[in-house]
Amino acid sequence: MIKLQRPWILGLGAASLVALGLSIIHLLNKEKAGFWPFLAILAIAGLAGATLTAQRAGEPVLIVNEGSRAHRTWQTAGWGIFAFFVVATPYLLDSFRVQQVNKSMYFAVAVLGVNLIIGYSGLISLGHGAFMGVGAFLSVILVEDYGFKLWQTLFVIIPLAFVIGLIVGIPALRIKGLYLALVTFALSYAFPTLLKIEGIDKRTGGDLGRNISLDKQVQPGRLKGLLGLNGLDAPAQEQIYKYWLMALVTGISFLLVRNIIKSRAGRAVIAIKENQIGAAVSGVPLTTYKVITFGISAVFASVGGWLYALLFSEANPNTFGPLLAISLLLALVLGGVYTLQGALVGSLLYVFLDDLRTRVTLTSVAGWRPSFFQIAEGSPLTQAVLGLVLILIAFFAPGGVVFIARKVRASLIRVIPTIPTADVVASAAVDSPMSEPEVATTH
Amino acid sequence: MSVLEVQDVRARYGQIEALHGVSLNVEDGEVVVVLGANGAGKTTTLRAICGMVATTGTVNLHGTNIVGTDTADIVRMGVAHVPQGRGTFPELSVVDNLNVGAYVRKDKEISADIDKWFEIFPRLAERRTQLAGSLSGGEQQMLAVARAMMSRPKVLLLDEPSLGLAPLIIDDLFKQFASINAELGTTMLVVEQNANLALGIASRGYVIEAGEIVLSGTAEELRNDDGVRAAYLGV
Amino acid sequence: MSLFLQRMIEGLSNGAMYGVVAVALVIIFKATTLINFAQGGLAMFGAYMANVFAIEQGLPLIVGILLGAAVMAVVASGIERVLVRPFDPANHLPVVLITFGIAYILQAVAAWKFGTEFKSFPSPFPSGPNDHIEIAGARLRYERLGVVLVLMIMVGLVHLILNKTKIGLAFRAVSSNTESAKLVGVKTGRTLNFGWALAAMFGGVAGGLVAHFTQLDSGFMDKILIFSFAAATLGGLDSINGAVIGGLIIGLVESPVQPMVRDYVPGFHFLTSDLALLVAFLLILAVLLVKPAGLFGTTRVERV
Ligand SMILES: Nc1ncnc2c1ncn2[C@@H]1O[C@H](COP(=O)(O)OP(=O)(O)OP(=O)(O)O)[C@@H](O)[C@H]1O
Ligand SMILES: [Mg+2]
Repeated sequence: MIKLQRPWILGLGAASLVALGLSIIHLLNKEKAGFWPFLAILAIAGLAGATLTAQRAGEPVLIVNEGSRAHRTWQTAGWGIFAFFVVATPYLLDSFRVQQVNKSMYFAVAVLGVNLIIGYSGLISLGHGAFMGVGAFLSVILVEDYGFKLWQTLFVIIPLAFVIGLIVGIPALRIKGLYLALVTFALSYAFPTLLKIEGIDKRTGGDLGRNISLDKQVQPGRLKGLLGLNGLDAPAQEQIYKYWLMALVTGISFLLVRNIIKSRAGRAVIAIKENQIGAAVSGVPLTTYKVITFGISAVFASVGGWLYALLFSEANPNTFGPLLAISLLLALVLGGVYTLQGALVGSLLYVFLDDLRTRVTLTSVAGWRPSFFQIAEGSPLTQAVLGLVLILIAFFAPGGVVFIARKVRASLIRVIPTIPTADVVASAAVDSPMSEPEVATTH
Repeated sequence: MSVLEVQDVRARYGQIEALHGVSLNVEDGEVVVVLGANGAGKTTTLRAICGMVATTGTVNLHGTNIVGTDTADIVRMGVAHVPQGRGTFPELSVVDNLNVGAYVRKDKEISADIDKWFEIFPRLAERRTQLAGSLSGGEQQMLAVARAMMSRPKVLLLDEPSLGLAPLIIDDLFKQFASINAELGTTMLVVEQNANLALGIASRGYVIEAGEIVLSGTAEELRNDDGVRAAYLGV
Repeated sequence: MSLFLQRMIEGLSNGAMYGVVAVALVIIFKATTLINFAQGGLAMFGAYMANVFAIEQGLPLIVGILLGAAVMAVVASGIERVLVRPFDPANHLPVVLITFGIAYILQAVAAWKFGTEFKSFPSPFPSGPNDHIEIAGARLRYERLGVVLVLMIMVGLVHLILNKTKIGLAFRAVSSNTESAKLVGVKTGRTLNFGWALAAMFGGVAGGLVAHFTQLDSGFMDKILIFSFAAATLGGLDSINGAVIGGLIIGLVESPVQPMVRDYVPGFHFLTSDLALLVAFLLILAVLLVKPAGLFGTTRVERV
C-alpha cells in the first residue's frame, strides 16, 4: 500500500533538510556568517512546521509497505544522500574543518564502544577514555620503539584491549547497579597516573607524552591522485588522506557493531537489558555475555585511540583521563543512546560544539557586553557550559538528536512492517530513549 | 455513609490497563473480602486505593476523593495497607518496624501500643531486637499486621495475609483480625484466595475477574454461590 | 618503630578523611543505590566557602568550616529537589549525567570566583612545628590526631541521627523498603532530600579538613573522592561503619606502602600519591572480585 497525501509537507521537510545541510557547511567554512544563520533558522522552522502539520493531521504524509518498491526507492535515495556527503565533505570544507570531522570519527568509534555497553546492556562505563589511551599509547610506542608500522600495531592493540576490558569487566559486571561506573571512574583517574610512574614514563613520555617522529607518521601515499589530492596544499592533503583512512576504519567498525547487535548473542544481550530475570531463566549466560560485550566495547575504544594516534601522531597521558570518558558519554547521549547513528551524529555534534564552547564568547555572539555574562576565552567558566549541557540533555533530550529525528521522520513517513520477526522486535526494543529497565540493586 | 467507596476505578501499568472500572464500597466497621484468581487485579485494587498505581475514577475516603493524593497523605487520613509479600523493613529491628509504623502519630502512647501488640503477638516480643529480615514468614506477617495497626488506622487493607503460612498460623491470624475488628472497630478490606477463611470473618464480599467485579453479595450468598464454590471453596 | 607509629597516625588521619567522604557516598547509596559523582565537588566548594567565612570574613575556622558545610547542605538539598528527584532512581544514566554536570559546574564556578592558583588553608587544630605529643619517640601531630577525633565525632553523630531521631528512622525505612515507607506515611522525597543534605554536610566538613593538607584548588577533592570510592567499596557500599573502617584501612595501607615500595622494589621510584591512586583502583577491583558486598555490606548485592 502506498498512500501519499499533501505531498507539499514532505517537500517542505526535504527542502528544509537540504537548506539546513547547506547552511551548516557554509557556516563552517566562512568566518562571516552572512544570511546563512537565518537560512538555518528558517530550515529548522520549516522542519518543525512540516512535523507539526503532519502531527496535527494525525496521519503521516507518506505511508508505504516495508520492502515495497516505493520504500526501497526512498531508502536508496537516503543512502545516496548519505554517500554523497561522505564523499563530498572533505572537499567542501577547509582543512581545519576536515580535521574536526576526523576528530569526530575517532570519537565516534570510541563512542560506539561506550554505546555497546550502555545502550545494549544497560551498564554505564566511565572508563573508555582509558581504553582509548591504551590504543593511542600502544600505537605510538610500538611505532617509535619497536619498529612497527602503524597498521601492524592493531594486531597488538585489539587483543590487549580485549583482555584489559575483561580484567576490568569481570569484577564489576557480576553485580548489578552502578558498580561498573564506579570501577571505571576510578580507572579513568588511575590510568594517567599509571602512565606517569617512573620507569613506565620512559615509554610514555610522562607528563609531556610522546610523538610519532615525522618520518614515521602517516603521509598521503600512492593514492594521492585517486583521492584528488594533487594540487591541494599540504595540510589539506594530509587531512583528506587521513579522512579516507579513518572513514574506512569507522565504516568497518559500524558494520561490525551492527552485526554484533543483530547476532544471536547480541539479541541476548539486549534481552539482558530488557528483562534481567527473564533472560536468566531462558538460559542466557548473562554474565559471560556482559563481560564479553565489555571486552569488545573496550576494543572499539582502543581502536578509537589508535585513530587518535593516526590523526595527531602523538599521545599524552593527560588526554585520556576522566574528562575524555565523560565527553564520550556526552557525545553518545547527544546523539542518542541505543542507536547506531547516535554514535556518529553525537560525535560530530560534540566535536563542533566543543570547538564553539572554547572559542566563542557570549559577547561575540550577542554583540553587547554586559560584564556579568561575559565569558572570556579560556575562562574556567567554559567548563561550566559542559556541565550545563550534561544537565540539560538529561532533562530535555534524553533520547538525543537521533530520537528527535526519528520522531520527525515518523510523523512524516510511516513504514508498515511485514510480519514482525525477532529482528524487528529486537530493534524496536532498542529504540526507547534512555530507559533502563534494570532493577535497582537493593530494592 | 461508606467509609470507603470505590467508583468506576481504572488502573494502568504503563500501557496495560489492569482494572477496567471497579466499584465497591465498605461501610464503617465492616469486614469486606475481595476474592479472585491470580492476576485478577486484587492487588491492583488495593494499590489504586492507596495511590500506588496510575488511577482514574473516584475513591472516596470518608466522602473525600483521594485519587491523585500522595500515598503518604492517604496513610495520614487513616488508611493502613499490609501489602502482598508483607512489606516489612528487613534491615530494621522488630521494634523499629513498629516504631516506623507509628510514623504519622504524634501522641505519647506509641510505646504503650508497641507493648500491646507484643502482648497480642508474643512471638514478636521475644524477637524485638532481631532484624525483621531474619523472621520466619509467619512472624513477618504478624509484624506486618502489627506495624499497620501501629498507625491506629480507621481502614485496614490486607493483601492475601494467609499467603505462604501454615494452616494453624492462618487460623490464629484470622482470629486476631476478627478481634481487632470487634474491639477497635477497624474497617477492613481483605483480599484473599483462601475464601473459606475470609468469608468466615467478612460480612460481605466481591469477586473480581480480569479487572472487573463480576459478583458481589453477603458472605452467606457468596458461600452458597455455585461459581464461588467451584472456584474458591474447592467443593 | 617511632617512624612507623608516626606513619600510622598519618595514615589514620588520611583514612579518616576518606572515611568521612565515604560515609557521605554511602548515605546516598543506601537510600537510592545511586552514586553521587558530585560529592567531591560539593566538598571542594564547601572548603572554599569555609575559606570565605573564616579567612575573608574573620570567623573562627571551625565555625567557618561548619558554615561552609551547612551552605553545601542547602545547595545539595536544592540539587536533589530540582535536578535529581524528577528521575526514577532505577534509571541510572540521567542521574550520572546530572551529578557530573553539577561537579563540572561547581569546579568551573570555584575556579572562576576564587581563582585557579593553589591557596593554603589552615588547620582547625594547632599545627605549629611544636604542636605534637611524643610517644615512644614518635611525634603525633595535633592536626593529625584532630582529624581522627573529628571522624569519631561525626560517625557518632550520624548514628545518633539515624537511630535516635524520627527523620533518621524514616531514612532507614526508605533505605530498607521504599514502597513500604510510603505505606507508613513517610514522605520519601523529603527523606531523601534530608539524606542529600546530610551527605553534603559530611563532605563539606571533610573538605574543610582535607584542604589543610592538600591546599585549596578547584580539583583538590578529585583524588580524595577516588580513595573514598575505594573505601566505600571495601567497607560495603551500604554500610556506614564499613565506609569508616574502609577509609581507615586505605589510609593505613596507603601511607606505609609507599615508602616500602620505594625502598624495596628496585627501579621503582613512585610518585607518592600516584601509586596510591593505582592501589585504590586495584583494591576496588579486588574487593568486587572477592567480596562484592564489601567487608561489612549486606549480601543483598544482587548477582546477575
Ligand atoms: N508492576 C506491574 N507492571 C505491569 N503489569 C502488572 C504489574 N503488576 C500487576 N500487573 C498486571 O496487572 C494484572 C493484575 O495484577 P494484580 O497483581 O492486581 O493481580 P492479583 O489479583 O493481585 O493476583 P495474585 O493473586 O497473583 O496476587 C495482572 O495481569 C498483572 O500481570
Ligand atoms: Mg496480588
